Amino acid sequence: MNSRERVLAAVNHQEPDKVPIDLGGTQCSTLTLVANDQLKAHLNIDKEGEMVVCPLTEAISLLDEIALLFETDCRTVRMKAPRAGREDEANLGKGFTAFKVVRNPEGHEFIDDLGTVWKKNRYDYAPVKFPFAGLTASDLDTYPWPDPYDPGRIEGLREETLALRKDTDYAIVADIMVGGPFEQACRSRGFEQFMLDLAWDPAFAHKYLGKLTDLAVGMWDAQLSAIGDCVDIVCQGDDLGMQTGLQISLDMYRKFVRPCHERIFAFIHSKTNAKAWLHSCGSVYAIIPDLIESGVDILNPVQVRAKNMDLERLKREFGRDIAFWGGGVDIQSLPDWNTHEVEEQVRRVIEIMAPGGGYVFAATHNILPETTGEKTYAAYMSAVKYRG
Amino acid sequence: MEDLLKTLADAVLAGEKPVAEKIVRQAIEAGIQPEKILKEGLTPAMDEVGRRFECGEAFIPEMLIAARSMQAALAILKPFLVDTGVEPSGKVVIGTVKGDLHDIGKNLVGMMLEGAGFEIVDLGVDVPASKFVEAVGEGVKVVAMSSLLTTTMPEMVTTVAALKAASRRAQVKIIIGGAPVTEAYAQKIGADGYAPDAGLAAGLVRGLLGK
Repeated sequence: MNSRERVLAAVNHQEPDKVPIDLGGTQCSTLTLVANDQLKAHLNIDKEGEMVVCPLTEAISLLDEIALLFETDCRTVRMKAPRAGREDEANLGKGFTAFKVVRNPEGHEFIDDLGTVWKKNRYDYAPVKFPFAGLTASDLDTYPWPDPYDPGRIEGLREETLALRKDTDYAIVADIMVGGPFEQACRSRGFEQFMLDLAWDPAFAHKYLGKLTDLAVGMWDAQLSAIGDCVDIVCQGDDLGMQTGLQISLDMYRKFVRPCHERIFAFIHSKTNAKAWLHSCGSVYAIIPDLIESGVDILNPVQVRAKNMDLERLKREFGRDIAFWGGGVDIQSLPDWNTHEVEEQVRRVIEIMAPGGGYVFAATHNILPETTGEKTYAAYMSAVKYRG
Repeated sequence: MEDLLKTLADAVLAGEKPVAEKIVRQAIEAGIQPEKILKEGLTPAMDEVGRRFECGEAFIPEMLIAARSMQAALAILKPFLVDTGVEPSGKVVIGTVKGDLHDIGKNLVGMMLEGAGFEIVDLGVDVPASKFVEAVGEGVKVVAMSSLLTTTMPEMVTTVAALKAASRRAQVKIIIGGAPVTEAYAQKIGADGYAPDAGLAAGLVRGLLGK
């Protein structure tokens, strides 16, 4: 099997020749900038040229050398920055897109496409100013929403994707390019305010989520009109979990968020035969059946340390209906494990998840900055060793 | 009279802020002791929210609307508590450690502790050890530290050491929390307690202070 066949078999619940490996395929299954530095030092690689594919965790795109060493099975395409304001340095990282590595100091701020101000601390950004905080339901109609159809977003995208199709055997992943309605609602309105909206102002919450869903559908329309016929996996994010369970009740999820998810995934499936991949952090066990019914084919990142997210249980209960992409090595434990423990963890995960397909090896999120190159190397070389 | 306090607790629990405000005023006018209003009206409601949150019957929106309703009622009640010489159960200094700007979990814990009758001194986010130390003045019984990032967890160690160096460690119980934090980590760094969620934080602090 080549890489594309391997990934497609796995996500179609057939057992491939080897478990597919992903590192760098998406902005939620890659290395952070500092972990990448350490891995490169460990491997004596002095090449540069990575891109930052998500500033929030300083996630980077992988160098080819590392992708080849770890036998990764996916390659990625991403929408570009909108044409409007593209030349302006201040807009670096503003779009849902990749940009050249910039090592910004602590305190650096940037404004995202929806107007949220993000501030950097050591290795990550947190939202600090919320453009939707004071808005009323009628303000939502006049807010200057980003234009999904800005021609810059798909400039060169089809050519790039077709070239990957023609010249390589990798599975082609279209990475996340807009936040899911729930997480985006929190990021743009402020977390506490949006939680209060859900309880105290359901009309506003519904309208706001509807507008964010319109934006996501518009972005998918623009992207999949260009490349829907030549990608294998398409990625959407929407963080709904915390360590101990969902952030909101199942009832509230079904009332407010599930209709948005149904719309997004139905739209995706109407535009492409690619599999729909959803990133949702934390303990999302309670909504997995709803996600399956809403059209999600693949779940990432399978945060195994969160409640009810142990792999054996997930595989047993849902393994026939949804594929898992992640959980292969717990990023929070990795810095503390020795290399023998790392190898044993990876071996065990593959033993549990490989039978019958439905699994792509990836970590529980981006490899953290405090992870030595030796540990990252041990994790992915163990995957190579035990993948079959 | 008990009925009024039960109605107040129900209003807080349901997150009916205007109702909670109205009933707390009625309770004061009816001559119920302010301390009784706090301990039999507001605190039990927040305890119940905490219990529901912990066992998965309530989630963040339900916890927040209850907390906001409790805070609104408490704001009305506070002058009467002061007038009658009622002291808070203790002062809690809370903050997200240096290098970390995340405050969702920290805010929820602060609200739950406030509902349990503690006075909260919220230092905000990105709080250096020295600021925690400075804040541990008279009446402070607890230092609560939060961290979302594995890279900032070591700041908790720094703060524990700074409290020791300033001879203030013995004065306070130290509790820690946050997504990557565990009970084992709390023990390792010499903290006194850890709670996996905001619902359990009030019980943890009461237990540590023997209240």
